[in-house]
Amino acid sequence: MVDLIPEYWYNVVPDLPEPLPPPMDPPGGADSSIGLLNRILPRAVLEHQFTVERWTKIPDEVREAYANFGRPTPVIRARRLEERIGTKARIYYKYEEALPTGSHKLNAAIPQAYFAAEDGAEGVSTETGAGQWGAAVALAARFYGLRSSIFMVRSSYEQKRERRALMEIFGAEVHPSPSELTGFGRSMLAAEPGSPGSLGAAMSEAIEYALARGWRYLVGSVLDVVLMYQSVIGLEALAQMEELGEEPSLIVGCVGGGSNFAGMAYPFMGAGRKARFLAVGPREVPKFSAGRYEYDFPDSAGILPMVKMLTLGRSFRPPPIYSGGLRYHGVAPSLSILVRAGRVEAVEYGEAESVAAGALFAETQGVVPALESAHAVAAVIDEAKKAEEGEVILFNMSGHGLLELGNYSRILGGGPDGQGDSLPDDRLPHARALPARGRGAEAALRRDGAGDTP
Amino acid sequence: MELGIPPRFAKYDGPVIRRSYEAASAIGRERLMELASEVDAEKYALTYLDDVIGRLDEYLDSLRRAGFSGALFPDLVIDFRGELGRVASLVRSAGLRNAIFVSPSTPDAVVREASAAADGFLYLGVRPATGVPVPVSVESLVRRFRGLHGGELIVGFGLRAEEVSAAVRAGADGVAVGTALLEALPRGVGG
Repeated sequence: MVDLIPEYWYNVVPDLPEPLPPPMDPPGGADSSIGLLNRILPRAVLEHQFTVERWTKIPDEVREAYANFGRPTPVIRARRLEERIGTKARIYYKYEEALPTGSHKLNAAIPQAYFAAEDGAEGVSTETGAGQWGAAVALAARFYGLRSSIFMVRSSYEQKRERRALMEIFGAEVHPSPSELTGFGRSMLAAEPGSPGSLGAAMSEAIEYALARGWRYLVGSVLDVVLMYQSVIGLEALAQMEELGEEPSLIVGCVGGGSNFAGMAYPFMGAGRKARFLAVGPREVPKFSAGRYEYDFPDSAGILPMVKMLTLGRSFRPPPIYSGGLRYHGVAPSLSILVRAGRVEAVEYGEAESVAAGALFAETQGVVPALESAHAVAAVIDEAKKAEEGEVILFNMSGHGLLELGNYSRILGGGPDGQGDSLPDDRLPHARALPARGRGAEAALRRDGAGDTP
Repeated sequence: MELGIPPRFAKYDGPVIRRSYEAASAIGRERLMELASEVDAEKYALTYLDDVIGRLDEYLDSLRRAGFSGALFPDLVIDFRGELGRVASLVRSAGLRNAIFVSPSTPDAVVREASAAADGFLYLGVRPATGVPVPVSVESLVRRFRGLHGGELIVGFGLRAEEVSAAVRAGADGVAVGTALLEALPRGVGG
């Protein structure tokens, strides 16, 4: 199976339509935060980030690790979904949720943990929202004999107990963020004792923690090197679609920082495919529609160098939506350029309607999308409904929702914690309010589908 | 020789060069240009286009009068890509040559545009900021840019001794030394 895994990672930066502004030290600093990266990231990861070339050889040990964890992942046709919604398009999805931690995140965790071990680090730290990145890092660290400490955004730490348990099974220490373990965490708690936390803040804590111990910090998204590690997704899919005799006309993925979307889409762009690319963000964190394109810190404390990206600002406090993986203030710099250049379209969906789309997917295909991936599903369904004959839609099923079924029933049922009654805004033509009762939601879905069956 | 004219904000420079700009600004623009004109070597002037784009003709004229051979703007390709042609031809009309700065994150298509405009040399800064030691494969980078540019290719940004030889082996025509020189100055020539 190792043979089917790509031998090289693909980096889109040499093929971007506009120059990618470099990371920048903020004015007035005595030391360089770019230089500080030497103490934070594994050496090889830094080298991959700054030695920009189209193709970077994947070490044999990493390819073997990819195979060990189930790569290549299948591309599957969603026939039952097509029939249910009555589309003229053919819909395919890349089954990244088949990986052991339930999402694509392992593709970037494995190489970084491998390189951290190569550096001789004793342990690694990172932040996590929904828990997908944390679980991937915990597993990858265990695989290479490293300790791991995961700072989990407090609201997710409290909501997603099973994901916390998954990290702990792999031997990680999991801390709710903001925490008392770091200076930054303590200052946040002092300012706001009940703070639900944010990815940007958890990131700062994880970095401070690693710096204090000589550990390495592993990066989940945003940086070009992470998007490059994720390119195995799209590189496999390119070969798989060719084998199926299919040429995608539309490629879709959800966007938190941009890693799963880029992993899928960039290899197709690099191969010069004439497809539309559609990035789906959460309406509750509207970085595509309301973000400014400017230099900003990827983390809340400003330890990392600034990067130029579409951003809502590092102190943006995302609402405590369940789709924790999408609660990030910025969009990867390369993706920001592609969206601004019009090469990638962007759309935003609310959580409630995404979950309804996810439920429909589960009902028809048997696969329960992660809440984040359900945003992509919502967009796919809307696009499929307007598609012409011969259109081929390919999307990334970036993660599964099997550890958050409680959230599905809560949101669809419109219970006390759910958003079933929240009225979506009127910007989105397909936004609709879900009725309070579960059965009502089902009826609402059936109304929109073709071939109703009671 | 590259002489940096202190900008308002040296966005793409590391702390050492930023501090040196602060020291140089204290001398004042006019005196700096006087000193520059006394330098008896082929010299290029470096400053951020952001600072001078509103008075580009005047700036280029002052360079020519001070005896500079050419101009280099580190932010031209990154932040003013659409102006590349116009700025390059203004530089030429002022009797100066274009040294165009590119970096690893410059896409290939843009490097080719820069290459066409560079009648002086193409300057590849291999690291994201001057004087900040992050690991890069200088050989891979120079090979990539050598394939995109037929003219003179100068490589710089924190090159260590072994990287200088790697750059030359991979096809660079010359290397630039900045921060290392500035750090050595207080130690003196033997330092």
